Amino acid sequence: MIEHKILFTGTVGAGKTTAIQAISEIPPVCTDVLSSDPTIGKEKTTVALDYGEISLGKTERLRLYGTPGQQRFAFMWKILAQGALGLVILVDHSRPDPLRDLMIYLDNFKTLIQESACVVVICKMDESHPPLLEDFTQAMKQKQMVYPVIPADVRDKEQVLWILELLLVQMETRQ
Amino acid sequence: MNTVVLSDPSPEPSPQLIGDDLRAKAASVLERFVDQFGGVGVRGAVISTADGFDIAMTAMPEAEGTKLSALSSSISAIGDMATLEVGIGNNHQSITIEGGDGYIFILNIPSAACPMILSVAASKEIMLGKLMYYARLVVEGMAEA
Ligand SMILES: Nc1nc2c(ncn2[C@@H]2O[C@H](COP(=O)(O)OP(=O)(O)O)[C@@H](O)[C@H]2O)c(=O)[nH]1
Ligand SMILES: [Mg+2]
Repeated sequence: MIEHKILFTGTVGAGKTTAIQAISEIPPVCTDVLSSDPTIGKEKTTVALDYGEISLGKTERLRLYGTPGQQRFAFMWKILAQGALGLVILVDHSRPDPLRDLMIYLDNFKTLIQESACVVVICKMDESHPPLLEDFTQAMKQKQMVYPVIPADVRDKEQVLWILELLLVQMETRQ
Repeated sequence: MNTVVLSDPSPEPSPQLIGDDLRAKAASVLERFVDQFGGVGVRGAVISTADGFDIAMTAMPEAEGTKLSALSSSISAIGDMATLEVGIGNNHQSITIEGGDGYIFILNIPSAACPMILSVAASKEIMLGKLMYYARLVVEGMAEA
């Protein structure tokens, strides 16, 4: 069995925990606790990690890890990035400054992104107001980072599988 | 090896939901706790929310208390998952980390409205039984809060 470690990161409430729960074949490990921060707009928040697994055919398995979103847990970002072969960055389009949010993760995971593969997913996208998809692409280009940027609803298993597909294609072409 | 370069985290303000009453209570419970040791063994203590915000700390630089709150939040949540997995309870009651020069004790403070965590840093001079006894009193005192 060949195993790859894939990491989900991104803003709080974007859907990291939801995405892993949507596709995991095992009961996911979830470290969500009651949130005492009303600004995040949900009752619970991940304080350590999410973990799930999904197999691809008979010979490959993906180990799916999710990070906490908040910067006070940045030490977990560092721990969880070790050995990862691909990164999914989820950006919540409904937050005040999604472009700035994306930059935080691009900067912090820069080495991992350069050494592995990356897909940027815009969650809860509302196309009636900026930033538009090309704004994200443009901002990444300025950092010499050219990776797919797609909108998705990560509650939908098929869409999360499509994100993994985009990641795997990159991983294969890099090998 | 993949590494992550951490940029300076912008400080996150402690949320408003933590009332002044709770802060005051936590501060006084912690004061009483460290007084039991007369300056021997206990290096500092902090009470935080389960999601990693400090509520009150004593004998500890603020930056250390803030960082320890986030670290203990992660460790505590993983401790809960481990006790659950092995079938020894839904939540851990305490986690001990032993370093070369001391200990960190992490205790769950159960509360439906505001689950909390007590973290205590201690040197090797600490008497473990005594520490656990008084740490549990802190837990009991705060669990009622
Ligand atoms: N309306 C809407 N809600 C979404 C969408 N994607 C995710 N959500 C919700 O947003 C929340 C994301 O929470 P969570 O997975 O805990 O986020 P995390 O902090 O990134 O782990 C969940 O309540 C999802 O049901 C979307 O496209 N539209
Ligand atoms: Mg989460």
